[in-house]
Amino acid sequence: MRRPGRTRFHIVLLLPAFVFYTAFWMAPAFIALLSSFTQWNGISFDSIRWVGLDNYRELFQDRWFWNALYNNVVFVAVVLSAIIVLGMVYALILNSKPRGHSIFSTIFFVPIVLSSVVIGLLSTQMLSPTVGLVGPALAELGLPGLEQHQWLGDRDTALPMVMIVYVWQQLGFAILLLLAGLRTIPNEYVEAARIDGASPWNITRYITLPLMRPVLTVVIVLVTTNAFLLFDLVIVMTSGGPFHASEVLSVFMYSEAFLKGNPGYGTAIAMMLFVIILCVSVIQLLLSGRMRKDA
Amino acid sequence: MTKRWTFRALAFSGAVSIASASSALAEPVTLNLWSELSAPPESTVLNKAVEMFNAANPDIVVKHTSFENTAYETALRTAFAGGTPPDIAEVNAGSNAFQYAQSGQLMDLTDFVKPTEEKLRPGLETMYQYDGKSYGVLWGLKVGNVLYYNPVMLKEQGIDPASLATWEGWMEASKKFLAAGIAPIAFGDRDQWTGNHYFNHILHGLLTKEEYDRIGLQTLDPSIKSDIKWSDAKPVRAWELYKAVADAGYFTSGYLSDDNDTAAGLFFAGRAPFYSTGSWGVGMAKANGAQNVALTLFPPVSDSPEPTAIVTNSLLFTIPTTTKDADAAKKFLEFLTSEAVQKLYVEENFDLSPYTYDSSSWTMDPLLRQIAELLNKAQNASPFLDMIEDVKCMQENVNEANVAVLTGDLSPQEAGEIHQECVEDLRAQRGW
Repeated sequence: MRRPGRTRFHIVLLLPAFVFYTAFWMAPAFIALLSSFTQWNGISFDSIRWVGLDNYRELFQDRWFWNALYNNVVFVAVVLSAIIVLGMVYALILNSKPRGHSIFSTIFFVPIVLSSVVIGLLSTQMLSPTVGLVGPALAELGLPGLEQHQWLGDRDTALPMVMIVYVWQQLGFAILLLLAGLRTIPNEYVEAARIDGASPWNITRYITLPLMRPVLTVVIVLVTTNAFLLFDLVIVMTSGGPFHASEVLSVFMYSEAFLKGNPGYGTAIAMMLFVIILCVSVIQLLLSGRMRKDA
Repeated sequence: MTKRWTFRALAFSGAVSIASASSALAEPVTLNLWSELSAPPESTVLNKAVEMFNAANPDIVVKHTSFENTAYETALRTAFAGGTPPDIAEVNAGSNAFQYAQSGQLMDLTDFVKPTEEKLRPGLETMYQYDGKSYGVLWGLKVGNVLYYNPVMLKEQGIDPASLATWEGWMEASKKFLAAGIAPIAFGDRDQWTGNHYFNHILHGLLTKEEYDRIGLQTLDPSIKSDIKWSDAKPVRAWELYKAVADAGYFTSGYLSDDNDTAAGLFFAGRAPFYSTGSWGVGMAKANGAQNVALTLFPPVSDSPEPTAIVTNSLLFTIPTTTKDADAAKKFLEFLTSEAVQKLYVEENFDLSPYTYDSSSWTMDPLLRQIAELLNKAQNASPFLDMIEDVKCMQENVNEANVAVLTGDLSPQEAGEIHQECVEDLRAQRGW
């Protein structure tokens, strides 16, 4: 039976959060959606002009949009694979509690608490052919041709360098989550399998990984979403260059909205980014749900 | 009794009204001034100027609010869009100011600035005149086309600094350094604006002021048409000369991946003999403790029509149409252009004045004085191209294109053609 007093109490409890999210999330998101159908100079409301779907039509014909989307997809695919594989390997090693495991856990986690701007600036300096350490180190290793290479100024190596730095930065967080997941697996399952003569690989394949699926889903969704929204590291390390070679969607959006003074077009890009992330997340959640059912 | 009390009450309330009215008359008008000058020495100088003005004008109180550079534009745009701009606003001269003027947000100050123009250096009016009207007064002046060099390194290679007077002489000197195993020009184009400035200075040396101003302003001002197209021989030659520097190996090895600070560091550390930046390089040299630094004008090509002309940048103080007291705001703007304030600005700021005051007795760094002499000799001045061209065409076809020309993604001819296409599309879209 419904109790009106209790419902009112629930409404009162929910109201602050509802007001907050409506004012600071829903309303701006709705205004951004409306803005994507306009063209204006950002200075005067009088200059706002309704252009319907023109921004979206232009976007689909813009080769730099497809270039940024391609870069983003490649970036997400590479960093996701690297973070999941490396994260799982390191988490399994740390879970076996080797000597000094707590020190290694701390070392892996340090980059995640550093600012992306700081990491980007340090990496940029290290990779510089004029003042960096990477070139001389490679020369010492017998790769002298790479001493003067412009790692961030070459269209073939700029994005891969950002990927490496991003994986280094984000890996610790994935390890932490995966390690927490591994520690929830009852030890009896592993012991029983060992007694039955299962090899370490079979224990990982048939016990650990299936039981880790919920945690893995969380890590995959988080890494994918964050990687799609990547902005700061690219801006600091390459500014999307050289000539769009490392430009991802959020950098493309920033460039159009702020550097080229076209906020309407910029919000259209933001809307596309939102739709893409929503679709990818829904697909991932559906797939993981189906896999759980199959299991 | 009642009558007497009524009379007393009326007399008392009358006295109170008169007193409050007179105190209201004596109440000084408060003007809000916004600027992006939040860091010393610029902020210190402006704050001192405000203090001096307030002390000299008890009926006006100017209240300065400074914003961090990147946040300022957003704050100002939001305030203008919301109809609550400050009473006096500092904006970047040129296209930035023109956007506000075009939207009808700035007061037309044409008659007010006329007396100020008499003491202004030639050519600078391009920075605040839009559609035949003037929208503010200039505060300080930066010279963009300066080449810094290391005289000791030049001496070691037997190069006469006088040979840097032309582009050809500079390239010959660069060739000597390269032959000696030194990449001569410290350059980092990661943030794109440095390459923009190189292209800007080369182009500026190839065109007359009128040609240069018009090719940019045609995207901002409907009344201006350019006889020169971006795909014509002169702009394409500018791209070719720029690319030739990279192709010859004269830029330091990180020219596409290093930022400007890294490049400056190479020069100040004596690892490269040449570095081009504006007059603000004098302050950078001091901050780096660099000893062996000399300068000259960025070398124009030997057939330059105006070889002594300078490229400049300045801030503009404007009055929004919503200001609460236009006369008081004008009084403050006039004060900013006075000799006392300009002297203060130059002496404390490693910067120059847009006005022709006799600065021979002012305390100035010797390098800055040298730039002031270049300024005095200049037959003309123009703003940076990014101050007088539409931001979209500029960003795509100079900032992005200058990297593409260096990487080989665009040929000089292609860079000129896509730029021209942008200009024509933009003018057509706006019905000009």
